[in-house]
Amino acid sequence: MNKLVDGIMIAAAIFFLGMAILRIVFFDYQNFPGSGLTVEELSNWKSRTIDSTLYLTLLYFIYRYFVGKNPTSTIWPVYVITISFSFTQFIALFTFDKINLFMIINLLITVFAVIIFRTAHNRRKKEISTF
Amino acid sequence: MDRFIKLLMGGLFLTLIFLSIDGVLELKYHTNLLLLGVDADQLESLRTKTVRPTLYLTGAYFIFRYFTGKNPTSSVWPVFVMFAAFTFVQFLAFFTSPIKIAMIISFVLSLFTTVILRIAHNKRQKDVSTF
Repeated sequence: MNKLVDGIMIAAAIFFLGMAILRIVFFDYQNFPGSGLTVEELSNWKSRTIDSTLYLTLLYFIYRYFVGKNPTSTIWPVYVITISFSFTQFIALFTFDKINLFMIINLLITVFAVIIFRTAHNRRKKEISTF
Repeated sequence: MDRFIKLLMGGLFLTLIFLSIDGVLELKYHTNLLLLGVDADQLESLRTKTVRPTLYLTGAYFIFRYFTGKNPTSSVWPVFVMFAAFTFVQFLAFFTSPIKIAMIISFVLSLFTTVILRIAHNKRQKDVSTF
């Protein structure tokens, strides 16, 4: 289990870094091969899910600042990002013009990542005494 | 200074609630609201270059921290990291996009917010003994 968590964490780090570089350098509208969505639809879907994920994550941590909850584990922000992403994708299933296999697979992968990050967080939590 | 930080965090909190609802439901109230002089396509391109890489860079950073074993962190730190990443990608966007006055204003505001968040983090850091 430990190896699986570490493996997925490394894959996620490579994915995040790769996507960041891709977006910064090759920034124009991009379609995802096999998504079944047009460039405009995909762009619309990203606005509803990815952008909102960022805002929800920021909201959550500002809320934590005000309620005085402190400190948190290092993996907690990644967990919050993925759970927000799952939430926005779930909402998009009801608000987007169409539902296709790409959206469902993407949601399932994200939910799987949420479980792995939660496991990683619980492990890390045990290593420190501040919780 | 304390009051100013709380005001800024409160202002951010309210803005993010609006942006989250707007983003999830795709109400598009914020389209061209802040970036006057940029059409919808240019705004979408700018978001692809700035907002989305911010999320990916933040994810990559916290997974990196997980592997380096740095733990724990304050609740303000994820907000600081996101704004620092947002400022960084906006700086890069100056070299890859036609520069508009609104982009410069947005960059300066992000930089200012990043500095304030760093001060807020430093203050919060003193409140806990685990650093």
